[in-house]
Formats: sequence, structure tokens, C-alpha cells
Amino acid sequence: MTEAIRIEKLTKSYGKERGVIDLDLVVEPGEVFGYLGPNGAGKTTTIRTLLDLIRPTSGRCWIFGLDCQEQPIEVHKRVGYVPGELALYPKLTGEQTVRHFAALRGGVDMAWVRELADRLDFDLKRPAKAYSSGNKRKLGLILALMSRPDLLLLDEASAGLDPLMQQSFYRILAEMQAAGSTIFFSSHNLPEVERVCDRVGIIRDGRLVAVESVSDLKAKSLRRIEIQFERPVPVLEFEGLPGVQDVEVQDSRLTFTVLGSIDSIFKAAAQHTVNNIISHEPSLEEVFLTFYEGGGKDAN
Amino acid sequence: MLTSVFSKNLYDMRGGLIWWSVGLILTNFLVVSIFPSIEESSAALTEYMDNLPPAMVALFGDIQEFATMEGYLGLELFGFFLPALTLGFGIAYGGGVIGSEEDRGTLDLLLSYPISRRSVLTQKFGAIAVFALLVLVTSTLGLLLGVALVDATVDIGNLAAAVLNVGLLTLVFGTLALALTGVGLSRGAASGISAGLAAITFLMNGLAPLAGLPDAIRHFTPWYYYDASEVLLTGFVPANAAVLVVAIVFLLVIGLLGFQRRDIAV
Repeated sequence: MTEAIRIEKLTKSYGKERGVIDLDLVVEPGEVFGYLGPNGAGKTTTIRTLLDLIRPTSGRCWIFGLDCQEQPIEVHKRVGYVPGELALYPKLTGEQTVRHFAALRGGVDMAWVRELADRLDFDLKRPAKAYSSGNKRKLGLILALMSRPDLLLLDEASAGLDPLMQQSFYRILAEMQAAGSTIFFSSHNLPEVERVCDRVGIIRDGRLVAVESVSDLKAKSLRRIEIQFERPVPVLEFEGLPGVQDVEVQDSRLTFTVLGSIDSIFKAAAQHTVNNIISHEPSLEEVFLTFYEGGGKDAN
Repeated sequence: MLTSVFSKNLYDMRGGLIWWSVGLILTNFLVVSIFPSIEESSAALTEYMDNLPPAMVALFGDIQEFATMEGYLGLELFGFFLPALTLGFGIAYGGGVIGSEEDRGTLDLLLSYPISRRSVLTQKFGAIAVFALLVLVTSTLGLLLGVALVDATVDIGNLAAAVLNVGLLTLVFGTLALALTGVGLSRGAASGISAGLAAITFLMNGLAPLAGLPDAIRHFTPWYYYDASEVLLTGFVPANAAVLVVAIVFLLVIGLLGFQRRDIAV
């Protein structure tokens, strides 16, 4: 099956400003791919190049096998896009905006539009200039989702949504994925990516630092675990286990750091009566930081 | 009304359409309605004009023509005043249809839809052309009403040809502003350069002989081919109108080439 997105050796420089450098990336059909990086890392540049809004300095990219620069209209037919800095026509109402952009697609299912508006608690009747930033964002989402696109390019799409609406939005995304859509999800919000995505690409200073599944990323990281036993346990039983470090025993409380799988620890702990387990899950932020530490020449 | 980029842009211009039409109908009507008093005092005006500096006469025409409605309209309206007004909206919309969408950021969203950049720019040009056509047709009706009210006559064929030239001249400078935003200039820069060039070429065309410049220099100004005052007296000059059409097409192509190649700003 053709890849949803293929990027080869993509470089985009804007004079002094950095864009992206030598980027290679493949996103498979049907996956939710998180594109993670701080502001200015090159996320928007990547997405706008895929949409042929900006032209690569070198390198090429394809969406569903279609060359993004040679066949932009064919690409756009299959893509829904939420810009990072969403701008709307201030004098058009939500509904007029939807109808205008729907016409440019040759029409969309208006019942689906109304369902989306309903689920996002959005009033289509008001002019765009009267919308709050959260409401503008909702309209942007409706525009991107209304054609049930094969690929969604979301540039910080949930920014400005209140938590309740974010949940609705995630549910809609999950349904889109279940229906076969691919989702390219740019964000600097780590818990969000953790929640929504299957795989994550981490970009910093225009370079792709890592591409991993969310679970692999977490497995790679250290986590601190604390086990409370019924009575004191011998430290030796835990010290030699694979991946286990910094073992400390204080009466009946065992604390240690583990890298990767925690299976052997649990097998060993099961020999005793366990009262409580506290696992300090690494946030993706911590994982993210490990990629940042000393990762680049101008790291702060 | 919002089914295409063309109709969306015309829809956006609807307020302007009403105000420009009303304004130009009134302007035309007022200019025509004072014709009888000018006609009566043409002898005194001739004497007055004889004392004016030759530069003024070169720019705004010879008073001898005031005796006929065609001559009067050519000097009072088509020589400077009417095209100066219509260039106002031509350049404003020319610089704005792409320029303001890019400033605001909506161009980013628009061009992510299955529509080519060529189509977007051409449809926006079409909206400006239709706007100019509608404003000129309605304002000419105002002019004809005025002519009828003062019991004068005007050669309809020559008037139509002159109005056509106003439309073409408006589109030359409007398309220039559009093309400049197409190649990447900001709205303000594109409008400013277009308005500046309109003024400079107007002076070049009018003053070249007096300034001792070769007459050929006038051939490089759109105003030379526009010459609606002469068209009103002697009739349509297809070759001159064709030059203006070629200029519009040329500028549109430049704008398209630039727009298709460049990055869109956020």
C-alpha cells in the first residue's frame, strides 16, 4: 500500500531563518502520527511544504504517492488541513465559510457538517469576526474534517479548545482513524500526543531527532518504582535483575529505577506479599528532554 | 453567491459596488448638468485659458473643445477626473484581492483546497473586471440621464468607446497592482507603486512635448493609448484599445508566473 506521506531529503531554508534540514519521514496509511517539537522547530514548515504553500529548497515529498509539488490539486483533494495560525474571512458566518470552502471541494455532506458542529458545540450562524479563538479553531476543524479526508494535516489543531472540546475532538479523530484516515498531528503538547498518537516524530531545530512508537519511547526511558511489602524483603533478590538500578530498601519499602520492561521485577516481587505499588510514569516531556540534552550544537 | 473564488470576491465587493456606482453616477450627472453654463461662457473661458501656462493646457486640454458636449466631457471628465477616480478602485482592489488575503492569512487556507493558484488569481482578476464593468455601465447611465436633462446630445458610439477605454485603463493599473502582489510584493507596496506609475505616466504623456522629451516616450504610457477625450470626438481606435488589452494580458501573465512560483506568506 502506498505510504500516506513520504518525505525525502527535504530542506527548506528562508534566508537567515531555519526551516527544515535534510528531513526523511514516512507515515503509513491509517496511523496517527505525532509531530512533536517546540515552536519554531520546523513543524509548520513541513506541513506547508506538503501542501505546496511553500516550495522546498531541495528534496521531495509525496502524499499517497502523489508528488506534492507536481500534483498539488490531486493532493489537496485528499487532504484536510488546519493551519497553525488559522485565519478566516471575518464577514462570513460559519455556515457561509463552510459553504464557500465546500464548493471549492465540489460539495460536502452538510449533515456531517452539522453533526460536527453539534459535537463541537459550535454555532454556525454567527460571523467569523464574532467568534472567540476557541470557536475559530472549531470552525477550522470543521473545515478540515467536513470532506472526510484520507489525510488530516493538523498543525497545533487543538490549541485554544477547552478540555471538554478536546475530548470531543479526540473522539472524532479516533473515529476518522477507524474509518481509515491517516492523521498527521503536529503539537508541542506532550500528554496530547501521548494520548492521541501511535508514533511520534521529534523535530528540533529543523532536524528530525527520532521517530518511535509512543510505547517504545516510554520503554526506552527510566522510571522510578516504589513497592510497599507486607514485611521487609532482602535487597539481593532485586539487585541483580535486568535493567534495575539504584535499589534501596527501607524496612518493608523497596525503591528502584528500571529501564524498559518491568516484568522481572514483578515476578520477583510476587514471591512476597505486596501492599502497594507506585510507579512514577515518565511523562513524554521527560522522554522529550532526554532527546534534547546535548542533542544539538546550540542546545540551551 | 459563494460558490467560487470569483463570486466570493464579487460578494466581498458588493458594498464598494454600490458606493462607487452611486458616487460616479452623481459625479457624471453633476459634470454634465453644468454644461449649459459652460457652453454660454465659452468665449470668456477661451480668453481665460489663453492666459494659462501651456503646461496646464497640455495636461488638461484645449478650451476650444468646450463648445460641444463630446469636447466638454473629454476635457472635464474623461481627460483626468473620471479615470483618476476609477483607477482608485482598480488599484485598491488590484492590490487587495491577493494582498489582503495574504496579510490576513486566509490565502494559506484557500490554497490548501483543490484549486490552482492560476485559477485563484484569474478568478480574482475576473471579479475586478466585472466590478469595473458594472460601475462604468451604471455611471454612464447617470451621464446619459444628465445629457438628456440638459437637452443636449452626445454620440453614443463614441461615448461607449471612451467608457471602454476608461475600463481598460483601470484594468491596466489594477492588473499591475494585482501582478505585483502576485510576484510577492505587499498590498501597500503594490498599490503605491501602481498609483505612482499611473501619475508619472500621466505626466509623461501630457508634458513630454513641453519638457523637450521625445514624443516617442508617450508611446510607453498607457495614457497615450487611452486618450478618451480624442475618442469622444473622433471615435473608437481599435489599435489603441488593443494595446491596452495586450498590456493587461501581459501583466496578468507576469502575475501568474510569479504567483505560481513563490512561497505563500503566513
